[in-house]
Amino acid sequence: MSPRRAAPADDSPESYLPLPRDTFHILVSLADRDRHGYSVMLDVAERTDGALRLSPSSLYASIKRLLGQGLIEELDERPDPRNDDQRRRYYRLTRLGRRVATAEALRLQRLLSDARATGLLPKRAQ
Amino acid sequence: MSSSPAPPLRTRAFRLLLSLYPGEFRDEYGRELALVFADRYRDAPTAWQRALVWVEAIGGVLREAPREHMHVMMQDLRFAGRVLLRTPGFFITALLTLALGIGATTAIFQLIDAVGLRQLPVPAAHELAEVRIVGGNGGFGLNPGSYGQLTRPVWNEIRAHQEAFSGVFAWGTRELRTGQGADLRRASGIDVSGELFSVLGIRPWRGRLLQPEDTAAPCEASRAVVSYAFWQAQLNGRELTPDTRLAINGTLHDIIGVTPPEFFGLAVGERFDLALPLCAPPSARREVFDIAVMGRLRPGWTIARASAHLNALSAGIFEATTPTGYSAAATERFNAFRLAAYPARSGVSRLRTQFDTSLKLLLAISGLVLLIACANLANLMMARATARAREVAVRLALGASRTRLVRQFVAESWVLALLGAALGVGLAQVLSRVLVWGLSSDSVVLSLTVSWRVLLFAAAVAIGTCVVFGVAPAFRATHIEPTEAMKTGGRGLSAGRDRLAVQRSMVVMQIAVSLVLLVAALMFVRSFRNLITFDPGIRQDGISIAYLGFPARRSLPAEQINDFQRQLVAEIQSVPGVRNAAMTSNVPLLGSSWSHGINLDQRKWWARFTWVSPSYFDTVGIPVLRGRAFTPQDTRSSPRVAVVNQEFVRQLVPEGDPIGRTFETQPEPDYPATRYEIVGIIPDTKYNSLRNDAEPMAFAPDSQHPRIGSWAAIMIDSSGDPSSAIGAVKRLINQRHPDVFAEFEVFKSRIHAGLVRERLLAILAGLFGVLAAILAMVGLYGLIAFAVAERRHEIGIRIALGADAGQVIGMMMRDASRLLIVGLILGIGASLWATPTAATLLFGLEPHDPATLIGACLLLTIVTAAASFIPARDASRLNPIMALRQE
Repeated sequence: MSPRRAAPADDSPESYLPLPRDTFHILVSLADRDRHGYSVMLDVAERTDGALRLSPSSLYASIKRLLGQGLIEELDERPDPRNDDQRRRYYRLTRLGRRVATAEALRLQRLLSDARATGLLPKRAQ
Repeated sequence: MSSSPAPPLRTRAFRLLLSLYPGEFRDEYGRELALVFADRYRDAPTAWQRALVWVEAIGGVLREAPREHMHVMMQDLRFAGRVLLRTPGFFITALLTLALGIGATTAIFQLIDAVGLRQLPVPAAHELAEVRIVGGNGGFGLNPGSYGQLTRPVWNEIRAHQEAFSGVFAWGTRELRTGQGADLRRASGIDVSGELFSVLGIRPWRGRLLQPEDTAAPCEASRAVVSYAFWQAQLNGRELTPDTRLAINGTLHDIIGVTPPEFFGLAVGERFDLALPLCAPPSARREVFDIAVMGRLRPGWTIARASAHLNALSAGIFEATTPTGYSAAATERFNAFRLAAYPARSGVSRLRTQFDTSLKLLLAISGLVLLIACANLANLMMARATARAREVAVRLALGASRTRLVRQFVAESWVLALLGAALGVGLAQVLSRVLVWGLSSDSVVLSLTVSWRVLLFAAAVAIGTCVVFGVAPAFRATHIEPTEAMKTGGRGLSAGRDRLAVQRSMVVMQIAVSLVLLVAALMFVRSFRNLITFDPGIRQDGISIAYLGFPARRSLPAEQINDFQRQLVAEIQSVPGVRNAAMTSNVPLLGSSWSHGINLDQRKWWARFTWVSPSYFDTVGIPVLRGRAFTPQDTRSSPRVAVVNQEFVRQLVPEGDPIGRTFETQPEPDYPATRYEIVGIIPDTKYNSLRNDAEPMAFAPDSQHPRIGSWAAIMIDSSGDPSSAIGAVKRLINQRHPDVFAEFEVFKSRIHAGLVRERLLAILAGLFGVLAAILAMVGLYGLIAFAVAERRHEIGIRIALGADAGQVIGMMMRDASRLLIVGLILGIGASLWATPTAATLLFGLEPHDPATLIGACLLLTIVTAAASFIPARDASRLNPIMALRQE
């Protein structure tokens, strides 16, 4: 995968959009708290009712790219309280990462309202 | 991790899987990946889900690892691109060198591909096989056309009895004349049996193609199919109607269809204009081998099985078609012929036979030139590496992995090789077309497309070059001690002769290889020169040939036709500017031949036979050594007489006076056994090719030709430019005999056109040889200049201590001469080993020709001396104070 936006010219969140599906799910998963890799995978699987199962390989490929783009950052290793005493690397959204994820969410929201406006989806009271 | 117990087998297996990733990624995320895998495995409740975890893990790695590699590679390539662009001079030089080298090699490969490797453009071409006589027919009977292998009666037998092919067809080539009167044009025709188009799977572009009904008895050859190119050019692409007719050889034919544009026939490198029905009536001549037979193998049949089957049929087939009128021995020879099947997926090709060896040789030569170019590049890369030693040292000291550094250096070669190959393939398109243009003495039609084989070849060459010029310098560049490199102030790697060892051995290799190429170049140039300056014993200057046809007089008695022929000769002789003219049944040196078996007393031998008019020997400048030439008194009713050459005498009359002796020709159909008396002797002259040795030759008067045809080939000797004589003769024929069609050729041009292979070899081998010498010169210059730069300090001290210019120059030149001597020795060895492969392509010199070898060595010595003198002289002019101060 060539990192298409390894270093966007302007750092505006919009320049990162649209986000690949896996990337967006990882950012969403890191929005409420810091997580290690396996935790991200479990969270994504849970939120999508198992529809999206990231493989470890694609997860870490995405993580590598997100780190490179500065959308997430790596924290010190610490043990996973839920699992065992093996030390894990934790990841956290950066400010830029949060802005990009938000921008993507808004983009999707606009898309959704467009779909409602044209009658593609049933209109729903706010 | 180190204190934990050995991980379970599955973790180890997973880590093994991770080795598919690039090292950096594995170092960074390998442990995390293994942990996540372990988590998932542990959390999977059932064996089935655990298996699923494995499947996902393997699938994921197989999907992502190549991407990571690609990612790293792109990074390296981008980095390499930036580094290369920092030194545009080097970049452009290297790129052009590679593009030229790869382009030349690819161009020649593209020709080989077009001539020999590509399949015919028909469905399932691999199923095609040709039926031929094992070992050929040995010149039995008549062999007109380029691809004649079998007789028509044999074809009928094969068609009736064979079981190996799901379909068989026969075809032959023939030169045709279309139009009438002044509009007469030459066209290349193929005679095809009705099965040809359906067996090959060719669909009509317009109308319909010939079918079995068209060639079934009574087989009236009144229909024709035209090729797409002919249809466009001569019929202006007009839609065919029942009224579309064309005069072919004087008879109107219905044009019933057009073949698709991609179908050029079965002969690669040629193109047919018209396809006519091939008739094979039971009465067809049994001694004329003018057709080829091909077929599509039945499913499950191999070439070997088909050959065995044909072999079993052979005795019956040849006995059923034995020609009559031959001697018992000849008949026995015919009946002993055996048939076999040969792969025909690539069709047949005169070009292939003619150029196969020379093209492969040229490919090898251009490959060697590329190798020399690569050696130069490698030396340049090493010089660059030296300049970047400090950068490498810093990066190593900062913890960069050596592998990564090597990869980045190799990536630079990659960028160069890939760009060079891309440019080279483009360049090859131009070069190969220039080559074909140079080849085409007549109409060579080759479709030069960039096939996958050509691309694959160029890619392989690019990879090869990259390995040769990129990998070694990359390893060298990174194998340095950081502290050492920093200490020497980035001036160089550990300096001295040892470090230059690789460069030196590369220069030695360059000298050796360029010697081989120079030897080849000199050999082919000399061989070509020998051919064009060779005296075949026949006058070539001022000679032109008129081919006259008068089909309207076909049915006249032989005497009357001969009278007309002689009348034509006399009329041509009277044209102003024409010194002499004579008729011959066979024009010498242009490839065609006519032989008869001969009995003289108890000796059985053979001789080339030519029937000529009385003025022939005068016209072509052959002296009669003894006895007499022919006179008008040698007529159809007078005793049969012959003039023979010295080789004939050596072979058949080694003792006694040959004049007055008689010999008898062995009988052949239309050529009954005839007794000739030898009345004259001429010197040995070349017969049908400059290359052949002297052969026994016999000449007889044209009036005594057993089968006088309604045509004549007349050799014309003119005092001035042959083309003006041709013009005058043409006007004369048109005025006096409008029913005679005439074609003319300049003898010498035709002979030289037949030397196209030799010319091609001489020009290309010469060019490559010069290129090789220049490249070797550049390589040596670079090395010596580099050595001078490295030894500035030492040279400075020597000069300061009183060494004069001569001594310094001598010191540097001695170094060069050592390389030269080793290179020459290796090169001579390689030349002696390699040149015999070219033996068959040489004329008038042996492959181990000492003069050529010495000449090449001398040339190379001069070149290398020049190349090393310039930097050596620069060294001698070094200012010792400046040189020492720079330290």
